[in-house]
Amino acid sequence: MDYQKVIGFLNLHHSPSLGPLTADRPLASTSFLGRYAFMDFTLSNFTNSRIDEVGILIQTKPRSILKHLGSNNTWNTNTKTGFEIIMYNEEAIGNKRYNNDFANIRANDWVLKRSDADYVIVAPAHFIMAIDYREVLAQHIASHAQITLVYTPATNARNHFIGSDVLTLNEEKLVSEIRPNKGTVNKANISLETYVINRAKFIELMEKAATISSFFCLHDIVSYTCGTTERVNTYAYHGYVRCFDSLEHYVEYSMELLDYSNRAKLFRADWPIYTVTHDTPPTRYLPEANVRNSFIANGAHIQGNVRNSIISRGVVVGANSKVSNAIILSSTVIGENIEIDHVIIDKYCKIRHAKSLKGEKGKPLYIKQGDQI
Amino acid sequence: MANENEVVAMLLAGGKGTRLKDLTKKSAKPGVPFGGKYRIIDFPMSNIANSDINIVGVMTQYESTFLNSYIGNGDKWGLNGVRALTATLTPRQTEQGSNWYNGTADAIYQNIDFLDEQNPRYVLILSGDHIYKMDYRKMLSSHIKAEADLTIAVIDVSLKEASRFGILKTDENGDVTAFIEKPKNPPSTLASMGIYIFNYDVLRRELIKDAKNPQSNRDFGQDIIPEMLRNQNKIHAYTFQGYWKDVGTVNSLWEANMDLLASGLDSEIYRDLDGLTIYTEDTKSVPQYIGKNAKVIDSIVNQGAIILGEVYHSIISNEVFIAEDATVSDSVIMPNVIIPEAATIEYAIIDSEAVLHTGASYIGTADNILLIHGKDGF
Repeated sequence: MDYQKVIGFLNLHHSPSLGPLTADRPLASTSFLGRYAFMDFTLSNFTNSRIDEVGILIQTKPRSILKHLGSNNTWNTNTKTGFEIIMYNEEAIGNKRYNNDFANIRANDWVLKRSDADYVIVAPAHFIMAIDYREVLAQHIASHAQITLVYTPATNARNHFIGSDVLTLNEEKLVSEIRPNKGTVNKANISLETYVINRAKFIELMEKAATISSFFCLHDIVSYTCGTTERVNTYAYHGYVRCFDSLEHYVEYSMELLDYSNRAKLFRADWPIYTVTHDTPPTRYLPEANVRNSFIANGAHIQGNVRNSIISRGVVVGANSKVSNAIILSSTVIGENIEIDHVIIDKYCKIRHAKSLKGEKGKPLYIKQGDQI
Repeated sequence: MANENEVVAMLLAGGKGTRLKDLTKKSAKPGVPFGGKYRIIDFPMSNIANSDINIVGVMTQYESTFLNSYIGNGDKWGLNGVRALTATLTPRQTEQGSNWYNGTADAIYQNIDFLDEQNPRYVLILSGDHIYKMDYRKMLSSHIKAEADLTIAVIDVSLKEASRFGILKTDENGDVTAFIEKPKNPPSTLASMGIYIFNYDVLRRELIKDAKNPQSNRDFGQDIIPEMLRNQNKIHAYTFQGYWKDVGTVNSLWEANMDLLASGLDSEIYRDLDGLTIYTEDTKSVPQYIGKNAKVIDSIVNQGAIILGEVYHSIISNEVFIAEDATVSDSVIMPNVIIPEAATIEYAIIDSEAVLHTGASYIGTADNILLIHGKDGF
């Protein structure tokens, strides 16, 4: 395959809410499986697909994203020829409707201008999957398409991907209609909001969108023109994918990965997921530790009992405490003799005095960041 | 070129480490994994970084391919910033010919051109053989205050141990009056840590003088220091207090690993004391997973490890897989090892290349740690 020049955009303008977990931070920098941020997956997909020019389209609340990215080039292969640019449109912050991906790219137009990429790939952070964009690009080129939208042929759309887009495809597998998934049927072609677009067409779409509505974003112009003025090609992705679109799903899909068969589909030896290091020492299990069926991150200090849970970086589980069916975010300290079940505890909490914190399956109890209980 | 960096660190990482046997057959001792996450060389390199010393020359020699790549541009320890430099110094050809490093002093001597270019005021000489955390600025302050030509870091050892070390005698000012290598009857218990701070002009002069002496073994402890003592140079001793462990033998490497589990808390080495973090390569690991029937007790486990069996009082590195019904106790498992079903590991070090057999037992004793390496998993 000829070498193709591609610029990638991590699009954070349409991230769903994960309830209280994303009240004060974007989904992109929300902790996942004890050591990742959601954005790590799409960024790693770009890296492994040899896409080394990446713009990160931040919609709002940039602090935790900036904290995660810092001054790193974590996902760049070559730190001179590649780049990882944070793109933020502060003028639009006060105006939610104006603050979309196109407005961000226009406001930061120097990013596209400095790149001589022929193709633009836009991907969100909330679909967790391991995808090789080179395969998508190859199909896009072979189809002589200008716009390709990646979708998954889901068989569980009644209870999953609610609120995501369902694509209606014609005989040529082009998109004829895009509408929201209302969970009416199980079999549906779900858009993964991942686009491969020829550069000139991308710029044309940005300009056309502006003439139709100042609120129009990439998703809107594609929905508006598919089936009529634009041919929207599609690529079917058949691998593991989950859409993180609610707190309940966050818990369900995280716990699902405790199962080896699911884990093997997402974490492949030839497709590493890179994340930012915090130089934390390995996990310490004390003589009284009793851990089963759990993910435990580095820096954690385990003295108590942990079952079916996800323990993040630097978490302490004190003596005689029992943590089950829980997700504990980083640096939280759980003291002694405390029972925790079906709970999500955010970062930097200190649980000392409460003897018991219990939620219900499907309805986890959520403890806010920094709380002392 | 006037150099704003007062101190240049020179790290001797060239040794074979023969007493580590097969662990260092194909790669030098400083590259040997330690503590589930680190390599031995991470300790001196992190200490250098934490001491705000930013110019480092690392002298590698024996089987240095892995080590040279690992050191790279120093970014694992942050030693690649604008005012920093990490230089891997292997023996090289010059107009004078080519030669291996033939001793600790010779290694520095052959890099006088590098030091001249950096033009430091002080040179800190280290070796990559020990596990310890130290802020060298304290030693430097002590050196400057004493107005010494050379300062040697020393540590108080037990009388029983003293005959293994270079022992120093000091006067009431902390000045060194005698230095005896491995004395049968140690006159003191102050052992040299092999960490030196020299004034560069003094170091340069002594190295050149020593190079002209055909009787010399080209060694700091055997030649440079005794010569300086004879000529009554001012040599100061800086006493270090803290954990310091040699990892030169299979048993001592195992002991140093086990020391991490010694107290109920994180060991001094892992705890972030005084901001002295140990930096290392960040491996592309999957999340650490502990299985449904697993037991992990009194152990240290790194990311990427998947444990389905039982682990007691052991150090488990990244990307280790421990199958169901396997038991590991009192052992050190290096990265990427697969412990197969029903295998039993006790008092052992299992090296990264080892291939173990289902149901087999690999059992050593506390005094005689079993080392399983490479193809000898029989």
